[in-house]
This record gives sequence, structure tokens and C-alpha cells, in this order.
Amino acid sequence: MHLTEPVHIDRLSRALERIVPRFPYYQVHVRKGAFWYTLEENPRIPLPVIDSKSPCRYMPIKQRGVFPFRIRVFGRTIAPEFSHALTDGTGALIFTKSLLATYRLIDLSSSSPEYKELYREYAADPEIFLFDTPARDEEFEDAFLSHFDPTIPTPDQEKKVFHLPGKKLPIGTYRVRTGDMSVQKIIDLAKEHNASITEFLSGVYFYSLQHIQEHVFSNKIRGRWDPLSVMLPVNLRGLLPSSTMRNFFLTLNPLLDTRLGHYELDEIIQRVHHFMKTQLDHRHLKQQITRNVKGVVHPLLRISPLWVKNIGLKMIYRDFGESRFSGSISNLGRAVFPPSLEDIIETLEFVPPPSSTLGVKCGVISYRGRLRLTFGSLIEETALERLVFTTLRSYGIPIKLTGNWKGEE
Amino acid sequence: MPYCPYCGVEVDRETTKCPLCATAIPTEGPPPLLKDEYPHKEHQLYYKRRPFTAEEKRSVFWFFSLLFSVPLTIVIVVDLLRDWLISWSLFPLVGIIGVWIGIAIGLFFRRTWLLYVLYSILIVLLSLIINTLAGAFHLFLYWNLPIIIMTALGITPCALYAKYTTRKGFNVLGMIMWAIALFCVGLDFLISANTDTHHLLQGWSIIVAAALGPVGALLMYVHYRFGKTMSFKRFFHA
Repeated sequence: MHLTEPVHIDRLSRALERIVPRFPYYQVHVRKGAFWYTLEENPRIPLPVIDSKSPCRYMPIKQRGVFPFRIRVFGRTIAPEFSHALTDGTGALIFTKSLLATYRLIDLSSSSPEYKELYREYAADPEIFLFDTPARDEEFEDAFLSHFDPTIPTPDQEKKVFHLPGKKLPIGTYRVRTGDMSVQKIIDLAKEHNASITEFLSGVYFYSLQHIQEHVFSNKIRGRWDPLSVMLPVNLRGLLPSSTMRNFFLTLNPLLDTRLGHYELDEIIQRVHHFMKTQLDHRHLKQQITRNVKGVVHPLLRISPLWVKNIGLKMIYRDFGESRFSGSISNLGRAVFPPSLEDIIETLEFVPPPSSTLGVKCGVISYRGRLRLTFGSLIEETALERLVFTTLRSYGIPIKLTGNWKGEE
Repeated sequence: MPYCPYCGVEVDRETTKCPLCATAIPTEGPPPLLKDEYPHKEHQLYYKRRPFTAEEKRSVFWFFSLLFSVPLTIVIVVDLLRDWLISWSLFPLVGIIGVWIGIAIGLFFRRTWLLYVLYSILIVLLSLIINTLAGAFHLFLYWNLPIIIMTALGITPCALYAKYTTRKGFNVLGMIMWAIALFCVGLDFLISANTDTHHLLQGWSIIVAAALGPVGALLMYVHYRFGKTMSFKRFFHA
């Protein structure tokens, strides 16, 4: 998040001190037990830390006293980073909005007319939790457990899919490349294809991946190619009733079987569109919930020691985690802020978390008529980013590129 | 309002050091023109464990005091019951009190150099007391004290080198190898001087030095020859 003015660091620290106790489910640290890692109350208050060239890097969350989130600051930028162990994009956005609202209010006298006006404005926004309001019980809910139905069969196992090849960047580096474009133009294009923004962008993503696969597998018999699969995270709060502030998202993974031949962009977008129409259903999503929760509630697994679980979970993650996907595109949607906060926020960016399996991931967010498509990459090759942006450019969409990596384009 | 010249954030008027990067804040002026040059390295402050508060320190201190009082009492009572004298129990008593003081030093002092000095004094004192109790002050004078001094002479340059060298790697390991080699030579000299041999050295330390010296030199060579051109982290990156 880039503000219009330099961040007042002391004021931000004071705002953190006020707002963090409002989110008791985030004011925690990871503790190691005999059977599980648990999140326990952390009486400390996090300090803002300086941002670095590579965002989203190692967070020592297993260390005592370390919060599974951090607020990074540099110049005019505030960059909250959250571990997925704590929450998802929705929770992080609500916390960020609440933090910013507190940042505006903190140094004002509570009896001043400006404070009262701002307070009213923020209280009216359901996505801003004010520091003087108590946390509601439903915010603590483990929504996965609430929607777990042991009678539902688990989904079929996914196939082995194509992964982007590439030489890894040095440890500790994460290349971020953001394309800034008009939301309206993307909406118009998506409408032309009878699809939503996410479906349209996923189509472009698939199309670019297909292009790379055709290049990489040019000497391999097409019948032996691995299919392409893109991970599309879905916020479950809109589909299953829950107000939890903890993690509550699942992924849909449309598949493109490139063994069958080449697909045109229009065809891909239509396939993604129809896939989403059929799969974005609470029954299908509950199947995934059942698969994920079954392991947690199984009595034998529950009593197995943590070190056994750690070994087992590593193996499960290797086979069933991100290795089931060729890429990921996560759309946080339209971020809306109260006018007084919009005045101080210039741009908003959503940097996807790094993944050593996928290499490149993509995050999308739109704010004040601008859509920002951000690629986070752990590999040296920039083919995917370049292909996505050139495909969009070929539709006449002007894109302004920014990032933390200069000189390679 | 004053701004940090390094990370560009605004700070309170009374702030003298930037809370983010610890840069000294100059007197008021316009916001610095940053070229979006973010620091390359992660900020280490976040990763450091939070130091204990004064209250927590006191709690830990009392916990250890209580913990050590149990063996201390047992040892004294057993000694008294057996001989109606405090004799052999003085040795474990000195040991336990020494560890207790060591923990207290670690708890209440933060500066590295001060800790180093205090621990050195503690070790010398413990050694002196134990030897005096055993009626062997000469052992302290001819053996313990020189060995403690030699150890300190070995550790000090290694620690200073590791702290102030800009690139840490095989060079620190090389330095440690050399320090061990020199320590062995010193120990050999001490043994020869304190026993009635007519040689300056007994010879074994020369073999140790001949083995460790070139290994240390090789490590230094690898570090300074290839360190700049080759990233070991990247080379060994799995």
C-alpha cells in the first residue's frame, strides 16, 4: 500500500498498539505441543519493521514471541505480511483497513469534530473493526470445522501437472513485477468473452503457460505432456455462512489437457468460465473441506506425536499441496476504503506468497479504477510475466510496469 | 516534522533515532527524495528475541536461586550429618554458587565486552577458590591461570575478527584453526616448563600446528580467492 505522504512511523506504532488487541486471534505466537502446533496469546505488541527489496520472505513464526504477521514500512509504503497459518486475504485486508483507520484517528482528540466525523465514517464500514469495539465470538470460529461433514466423500486425487522450469533466484530474493492497468478496460474485455475478471485473467494465464509448455516440450510427444492446472483461491465466506477472521478459503483448479492439442485464448476462457460455473458450488467445496479436515480429526492421527506429523505432512504436502498446480492466480477483488482513507492511499498492491514449487504466482487487486496484477517469482526466467503482459497488451490495454527488479526488460 | 534520511518515514519531533532503521534523525527538513531503493537485506531486529523485562529477569533469577538452594542444602546437610563439619561440601558449594553467579551475570548484563570480562573474572576466581580450598594454590598459579589466559588470548582475536570482518565464512573457521594451533603450542610450552624436561616444547603441538596451520591457510585462501566471485550460498542451494 503506497500512501500519498511518508508514513509517520511513531503514529503507526501507536496505532498498532491500539488495534492489535482488537484482533486477539492475530495477537498470538506459535507454540509447539506434543501433538500439534498451537496458536497462543502473545502479550507483546508487534513493531513495524523496515521493508526490504524482496518482500514476503522468511518469517520465523516458530520462534517464541514472534507474531505470524508483520507490518513492513519504507518511505510511503505500508506492507502488512500475513502467514497463511493465521488468516487469508480477506482477514488481512480487514486488519489493514482497521489499522489505517486507527492510524488516522490515533493522534486526534476524541472530542474534536474531525475525530467524531472520521469515527462515524469508519464505524459505518463493516470491514473496519474499530479499536474500542470488542471482538465477536464468530470471528474466532474455525469455519472449516464448522462446515465439516464426515459423510461427504473426498474429491478424486488430482493428476500430475506441468511445472514451470527455471533456474532459482538466490535465496532470500523474490522478484516482484506489477502491471498497472485500467479496471474498466479489463471488465469490458472480460464481458466480450462472457466471463468475469478472474476467469478472463486465468484464461490469459493458462494461455501463457500453454505457450511455455509448447516451447519446453517441443521435442516431447504431445500424448505424454502433463496437463496444466491453475490454482484459483476462493473466499468461502460468500458461499458458506461464516464471519470468521481466520483462514477460510479453498482453491479451485481448472485443468487444461494440452495432450489433446492447442487451445485458443477464447476457448480457454470459456472452459475456465464453465468450470467455475459448475465447481463454485458449496457441495464441491465441502468435499475439499472434508478432505482437509478428515486428517485433523482422525483419532489415530490426533494421538501421533508432532515429529511424526511433521514428517507425514511434509510428504502429503509434496504430493497433494502446490505440486498439483502449474500456477496460481489470486484475485482479492475490489478494495473499497472510506473516502478519508482513499485520500491518503495512492495505490494498492497484492503480492502473492512465494512458492518454490510453482516458481511464479500472481496476485490481483483493484482499487480506485486501477487493476494491479502482481507477479511474485522465485525463478530467473521472466517468460510467464512477459507473456501475460504482452497478451493483455495485444488487446490494446496500456500497462505500466513497476517492480523491485530493474534492468532485465 | 522530521524525517528519517534513510527509510524516508516521518517521526515524532522528540525522536532522535529512527525506530525502523536506527539512523540518526537530522533536524527538521523536507522529506528526503528516496529512489525506491529498498534495503536488500532483511531487517534483523524482527528476528531477535525480545529481551527479558526487569520483572521477568527477577523471576528467572529467583527461580534459579530456589532451584540451586535444593542441592546446596542437601550437600551441606549430608556433609554435616556425616562428619559434623563442612569439608568436602565446599567444593560442590563453590561450583553451584559459581553457576548461579554465571546465570545472574547473563541475566542482568547485556554488553558483550562486559559479559566477557565478568565471565573471565568469574572463571579465574572459581579456579582460585577451588585450588586454595584443596590446598594447591601453586596449581592455580602454574597451570590454571596460564591456561585461562591462553584461552582468552585465543578467543579474543577470533571473536573480534568474526565481529568486524565484513564477509564471514571460511575465514572465521580458518582463524579458529590458527587459534587452536597456537593454543596447543602454548599448552605444550607450559607442560614443558612445569615438568622437569629440558626441552622448550615436547613436540606434539608442532604436529597439531603443522596439521591445522595449512588447513586454516587453505580456508583463508578459499575465502579471499573465491569468496567475491562465487556465492557459496547459491552454490550449495538445494
